Amino acid sequence: MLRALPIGTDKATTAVMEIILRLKIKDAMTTDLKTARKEDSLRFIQQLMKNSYVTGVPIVENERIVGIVTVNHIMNALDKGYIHEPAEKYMGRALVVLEDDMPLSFAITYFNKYSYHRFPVIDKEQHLVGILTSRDILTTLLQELNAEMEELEGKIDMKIAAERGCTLNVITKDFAVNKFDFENAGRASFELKKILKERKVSQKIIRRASVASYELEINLVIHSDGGRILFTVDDNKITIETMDNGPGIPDVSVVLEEGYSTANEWIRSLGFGAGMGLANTRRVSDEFDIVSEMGKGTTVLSVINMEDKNEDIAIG
Amino acid sequence: MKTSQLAESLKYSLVVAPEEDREIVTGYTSDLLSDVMGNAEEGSVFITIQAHRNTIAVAQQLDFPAVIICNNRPIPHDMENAARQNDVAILKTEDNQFIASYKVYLALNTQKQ
Amino acid sequence: MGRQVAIEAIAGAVSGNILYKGDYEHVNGVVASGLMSDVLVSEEEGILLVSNLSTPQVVRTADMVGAYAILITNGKMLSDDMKELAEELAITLLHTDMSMFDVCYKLGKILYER
Repeated sequence: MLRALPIGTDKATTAVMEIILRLKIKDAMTTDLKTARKEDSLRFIQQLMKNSYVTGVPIVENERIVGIVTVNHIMNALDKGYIHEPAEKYMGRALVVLEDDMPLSFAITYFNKYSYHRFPVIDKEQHLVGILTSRDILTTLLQELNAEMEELEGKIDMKIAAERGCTLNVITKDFAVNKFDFENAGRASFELKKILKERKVSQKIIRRASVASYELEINLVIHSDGGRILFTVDDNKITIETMDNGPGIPDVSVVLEEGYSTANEWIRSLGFGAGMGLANTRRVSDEFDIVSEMGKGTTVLSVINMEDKNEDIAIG
Repeated sequence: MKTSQLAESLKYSLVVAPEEDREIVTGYTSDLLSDVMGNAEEGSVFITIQAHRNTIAVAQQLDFPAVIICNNRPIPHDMENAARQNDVAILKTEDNQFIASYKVYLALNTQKQ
Repeated sequence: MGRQVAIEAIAGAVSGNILYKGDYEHVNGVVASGLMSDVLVSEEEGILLVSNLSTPQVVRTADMVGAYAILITNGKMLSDDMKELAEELAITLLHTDMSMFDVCYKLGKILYER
């Protein structure tokens, strides 16, 4: 039994629905058609399939589709010994076709309903203009989704900004950070640095934000059971928050001391655990807060204000 | 050059003075304790910012007469105690590892001339 | 410090090799440390980071402080992902067999004795 495609159910999110309603079949179909005539032998068609890597060949007469020959037909022909016969004799005639102007959602429903692997596509004049396979739908959907994602991210940023009552020129980024994942440690901070450079923030501010972010990110890697790091950049300030799921810090005042570290030898051998992380972060921040509960986790907040009278900055 | 002479020459403070004032032949600069084990010569002064009890353990293993802690890092009590127990001297400076290494090299090699 | 030193001169002084050439021909100062947090305390832009730790984290830390070049000492082997990261971040990567202690002296000489 084929698994039903999750469409028109509550599993299909609005964004995806919008896309498949907006896209037309002609946006996804293959137009480079390999066709044959009804007089052509099945052997000829079999060769055509082999050389062109297709599994279905429409039989066309006067630009109209009159039948279709699939690998199934060829297998039967080889099995029963009629491979040299003309296509006309054995081609499939009960055709389910799609129209090129239909939304892609139709095609998905058809794939759901019928067990065919491909659908010929015709235009308003009933001429054969393409073929649509599930692979075609997949490729087109992925391309559209990628494009949509970027746009959606922009909209989410606006939404968060509106909720926070900030100016509209806001970027928010959110990263998961895993325990002992040294290979990726620092990637989030690198992204923040990139954003600040694009916004032409002054070198001094970038340095402070980099230090705060990197130290907090490394702390998540070395000391926590995993967590998230969240950046918000607007015209006034840079906010860096980390939150983790444990283990929690018994005495926060102690960890803020320079030189205090609970890191083991292995971590030190990687160049970490100098015991300066939180102290460094606090030093470069305009606002700093750390809250922790044993067994629950720790959140750290660092805010760095943008200088507003510095000639190094061009805002936005 | 003896430990006390080096401290004097560089004007680095002696947080833990040596009981036996041993000869310092060269320096070893590293913040990675595990790294030091395979590589260093006896009679080296260990230049680092790792102000930690383990630093003394390493110094003692390798027969380093002294440790120089850079960047004015605070010396924890347990590190100090370990140093006294194992007769490893601790010098302290606000210079960073780079400057301290350079100065120690000069001091040791000028003296040889 | 504000004194510029050519990277080529540094390579020569420490008998080192340039494994990857980044965007800059010179550096503005030197930081020698094996601990990441220690490096992050530095304030200068465009330094040479000297380390006897050869991991990709050293490259990331160097990028965080806007370093122009990294010198790995004590003949430490450099992993491929370190070289790749240095290329990605356009930071010059140098390598020498000399010990950190000796390197500091050689570099100090170039910086301070002119």
